[in-house]
Amino acid sequence: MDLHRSFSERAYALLIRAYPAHFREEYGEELQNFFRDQLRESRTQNKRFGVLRLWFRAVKDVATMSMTTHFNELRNCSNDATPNPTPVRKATMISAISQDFRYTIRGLRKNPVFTGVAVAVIALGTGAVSTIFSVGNSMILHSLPGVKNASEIVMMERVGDHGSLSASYAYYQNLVAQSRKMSGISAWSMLQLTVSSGSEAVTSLGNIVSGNYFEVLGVQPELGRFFAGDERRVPDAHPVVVISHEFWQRQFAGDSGIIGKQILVNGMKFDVIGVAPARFSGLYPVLRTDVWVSLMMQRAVRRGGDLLTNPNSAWLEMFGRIAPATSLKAAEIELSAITKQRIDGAGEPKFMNCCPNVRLAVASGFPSDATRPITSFFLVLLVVAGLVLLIASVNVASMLLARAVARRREIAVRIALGASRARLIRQLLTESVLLFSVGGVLGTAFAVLATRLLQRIQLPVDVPMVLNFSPDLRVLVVTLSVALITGVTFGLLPALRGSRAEIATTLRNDSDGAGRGRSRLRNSLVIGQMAMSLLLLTASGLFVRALDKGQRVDIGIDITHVSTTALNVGTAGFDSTRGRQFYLDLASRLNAIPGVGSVGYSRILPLSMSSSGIDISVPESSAQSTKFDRAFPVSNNIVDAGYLAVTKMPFVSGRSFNASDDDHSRRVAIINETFAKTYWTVQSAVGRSIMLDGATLTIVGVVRNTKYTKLSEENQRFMFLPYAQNWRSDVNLVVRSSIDERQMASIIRREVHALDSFLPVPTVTTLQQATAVNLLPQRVAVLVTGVLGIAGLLLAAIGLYGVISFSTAQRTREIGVRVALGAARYDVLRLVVGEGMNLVGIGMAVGLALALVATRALTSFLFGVSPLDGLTFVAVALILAACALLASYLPARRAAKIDPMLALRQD
Amino acid sequence: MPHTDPRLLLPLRPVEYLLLLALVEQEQHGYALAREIDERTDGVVKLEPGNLYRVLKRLVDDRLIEISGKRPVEALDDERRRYYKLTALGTRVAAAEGDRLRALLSSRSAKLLVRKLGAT
Repeated sequence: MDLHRSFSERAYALLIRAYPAHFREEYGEELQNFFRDQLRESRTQNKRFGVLRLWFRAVKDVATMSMTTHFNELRNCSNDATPNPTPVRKATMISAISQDFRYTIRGLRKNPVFTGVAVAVIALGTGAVSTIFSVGNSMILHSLPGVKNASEIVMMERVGDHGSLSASYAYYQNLVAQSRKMSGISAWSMLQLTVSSGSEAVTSLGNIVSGNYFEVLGVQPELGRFFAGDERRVPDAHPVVVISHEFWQRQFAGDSGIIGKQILVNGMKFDVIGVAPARFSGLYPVLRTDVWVSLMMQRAVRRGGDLLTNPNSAWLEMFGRIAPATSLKAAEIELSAITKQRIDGAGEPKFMNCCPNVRLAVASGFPSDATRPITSFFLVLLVVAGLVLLIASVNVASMLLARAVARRREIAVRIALGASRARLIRQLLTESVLLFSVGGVLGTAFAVLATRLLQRIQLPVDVPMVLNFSPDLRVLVVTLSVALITGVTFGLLPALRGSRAEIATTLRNDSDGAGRGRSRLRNSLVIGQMAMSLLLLTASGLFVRALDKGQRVDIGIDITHVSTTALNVGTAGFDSTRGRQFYLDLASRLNAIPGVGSVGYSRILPLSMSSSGIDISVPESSAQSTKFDRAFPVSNNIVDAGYLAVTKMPFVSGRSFNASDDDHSRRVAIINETFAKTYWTVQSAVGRSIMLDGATLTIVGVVRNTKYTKLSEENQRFMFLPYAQNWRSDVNLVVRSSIDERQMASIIRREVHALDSFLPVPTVTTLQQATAVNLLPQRVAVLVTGVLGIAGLLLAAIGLYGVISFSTAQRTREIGVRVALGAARYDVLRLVVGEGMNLVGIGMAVGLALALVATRALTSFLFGVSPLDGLTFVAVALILAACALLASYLPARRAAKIDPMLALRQD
Repeated sequence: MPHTDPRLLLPLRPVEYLLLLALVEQEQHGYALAREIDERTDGVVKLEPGNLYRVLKRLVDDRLIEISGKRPVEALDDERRRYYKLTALGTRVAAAEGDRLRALLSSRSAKLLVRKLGAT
C-alpha cells in the first residue's frame, strides 16, 4: 500500500515536470499535496478504478494546463511592456518551432518511402493498442452507460462462508427501511419475457425492478416517464412497462407516439409509459435488456406464486447508491449488522441464516465474480498490444537513427554554421513527434475499423448481447497521448545521438568507422525487439496450446449431434399442468421423427458456464463415514431421463430416472462419484437418503464424474434431480439425431409452432455451439495474440533486416578488403549472418528470461498447460530463429556479392 | 500600478468568482478550495490541480488574493499547506461582481426568460 502510494506520487512528481520551470517552482509542492489528497479520497471512495480514474484526470489536467501555462508565458514574455530578460529568445522560439515543422514536413515529403513505412508501422502499433483499449474502455471503464455518477453505484450481495444468497422481497424492504449509509437501494431480477407488439411475438430479456430503480441509477427517460406513485406500491394494479431505446427503434421504428400504446407481455396487456435513454441497458450493459417491469407486477410476468409475500423466495438482486462521503467498508458493516439483526430476530426462514453478511462491490457492468477475470484478461491483451507498439516504436527509432546517421553531414554543416545542440535535438524530435502523431491518428482510424469488425462477431451465448466498442474521445486522447509519449521517448535517443556529430571528423572525411556507438545503440534496439517478439509469440503459443488442450478435455459426456433450444412456456401463460403436457407432447412428436435418437429436457445446459447450487444435508443415520456434514451446497441440474440418454451419461451403479419417478412417488436423486465417495462407496450409495428443504430424497443412481459447468472445473459433488418432481417452465430441449443440424432446427421450430402457435419461435443451436462459450477467452486470445504476434515478428524481422543491411552497407569497404585478401563468399556470409545471429541470440535469451517470468500471469487462462510449456518455448525459439536467419541472410547475400574493386573505389 | 477601481477587473470568470466566494468566510488551502467548489456547484465544477493553481496564480498576480502563509492541515498531522486569503481589493472586486450579476439578473430580458421557463 505504502509502496503503491509512493509510486503514484513519484510518477505524478515526474508528470508535473511538463509545467514551465518557474510555475513548477512556485506550485510544484502544492500540486503534489493536492494530488496526494485526491489519492486519499479516491482510495476511500472507490477501490477498484478510483486510482485509475484519478490518473486519467491527472494526465489530462497536466497535459492541457501545462500547455496553457507554457503558452501564457510565451505570450506574456512577448507582449509585456515591462523589460523582460529574454523577450527576443521567446519570440524566436515560436518561429523556430514553426520553422522546424516546415522543415520536417519538407524532409519527410522528400522521403516518401521512409515516411510511409514509419507511419504505417506506428499506425499498426498504436492501432493495436487503440483497438484493445477501445474494447476495454467500453466494457470496463465506461461500464454503465447512461448512469449518473456510476462510481457511486454498488452491487450488493448477501454472502456467508459457503456462498451467496439472493434477496427476498421482505429482506430488501428491511434494508431499505434501515440503511442510512446508502442513499438508495433497488432490487431487480432478470427474466425472459415474450413480448408482442402486434402480430409476432419475440423473446426478450426483461428486468423486473423496484419502483426506484431508475431513480437510484439517476437515469432520465428519453420519452415519457418511469414508474411512479401507485405503480411502485400497489401489487397487480398497474400493468405498465418501460422499454429500451433499442427495442423502441427495433420494434416500433422509433415511433414518437409510442407512449400510451399497449403491448402484450407474457400474454397480458401492458401500457408503455416510457423509453429509456439510448445505450442504457441496465446493470449488465452487455446484455440487451428490452423491457423493464415494476416488481409490483411480478405475478403477471413470473409464474411462481406471489413472490412479494413469500418469505422463502430469495429471487432478487440488489444494488444501491452509496451515500456521499461514505466508504464501502462502513456501508458493508452497516448492512451486515442490519442482516444479522434480522436473522437474530427470527424474521427469516432458517436456511437464510447461511448468509449473514453483505458484500459491496462497485458496479462494473458484470456480475461481481466475473469482474476480476474480465479485467485481468483485458490487461493481458493490452500488454500484448503494448508490446507490438513497443516493437513498432523501436523499429521507427532505429529508422530515425539510421536517418540521423545518413544526415551526419547536413547536421555537421549546421553545427558549423552555429546551430546549438538543443536546436538540433528539437528539430530531430519534431520529426519523430510528427511521425508518431500522424501514425497515432491513423492508428485510431484503424481502431475504428477493427472495433466495427469485432462488434460483428457472434458470441456463442444464448442471451442477446449488445456490444458497442466504438472508440470515444477518451480512446482518441489516450491513443494520441501514447503516440506522443512514444514519439518523444523513441525520438529522443536518435536525436541525442544524431545531434552529437563531431564536426571536424565528419566534415573532413566521410569515413564509415565513426558509428561505433551508434551501432551499439542500434544493436540493443534489435535485441529489445527480438526479446519482445519472443515474449509475444510465447504468449500466443501458450494460448494455442491451451485452446488445443481445452478442445480435447474429456468432458465425460457426448455433446456431438445434439440440437438444443431454450423453451419457456411460462412466458406464454401456461400453468404447470398445461406446461407439463406441452413438454411431453413435444418430446413424443420429436421422438416419432425418423432419425431422432432421443429427446430430453434439462434446466441448465452442460458447460454453459451457468450453475445452480442448493443446500442439502445427509441425515446421520445415512452417513457411513466420519466426514459427516450438517448442510452443504451442492451444484445440481434438473433433468429428465431423456437428457441422461441424449448426453450418454455413464452410469456406475443404480438406474436412471423413469416414468414412475413422478409427483406422487417418493422423491429421488442421482448423484455423481465424488458425491458418493464423500459419504459412502459408489456401490453402497444407491438407496441412501439425503435431505433437501426438509424432504427426504432417495438416491437411485450414481453416475461417473463429468464436466458440468465449465471445462476448467475440478471434480465436484453434483446431483441430478428428476424433472418430473421439480417442474419448471423454463427448460432446455436437447435432441440427439442423425439429421443435419439445420434441418433439425427447422423441424424443432415446426413442431413447437404446431403445438402452440402463440409461443415465440425458438432459436435452435447445437450443444457444441452452446458450449463453445467455454473456450471464448482462449479463442479471442489466440486470435489477438496470434495476429499481433505475427505483426510483431514481422516488425522485428524488418528491424533486424534494416540493421544488418545498414551495417553491411557501412562496412562495404571492409568487406571489399576481406574479399580482395581472399575471403570466400561463404566467409562473408558467415560474417554477416553471424553478426545478425549474435544479436538474435542475446535478444532471445533476454526474451526467454522475460517470458519465464511473465507467462505466469497467464496461468489462469491455460487449462493446466504449464506457463513454462517446453514445446511452446522450443517452437517459438525455432520460428524466431528461422525468421531472424532469413532477415540477416538477405543482406549477407548482397554483401557476399560485393565486388572488391568497386567497393574499394567507392566514396 | 495596482488597479484600484474594482470595476476595471470585471467581469470575473465564473471559476474566479467561485474561488473568491470560497475565501470570504475563511482562509483555505488549494485542495479545500477545490472540494468546496465541487460541493457548492453540486459537482458541476471540478477543479483539477493544474487548472486551480493557474487560476490562483492569476488571482494572486491581480492582487485579489494573497498567500497567508504555510501551516499544517488539522486532519493531516505534518503536512504543511499554503493558505490563501482575500485581499481588500479582492473583497471589493467580489462584491462588485456580485452587483454586476445581480444587475444582470434583474434586467428585463432575464426576467422574461425566467417567466418563459416557468410557464412550460
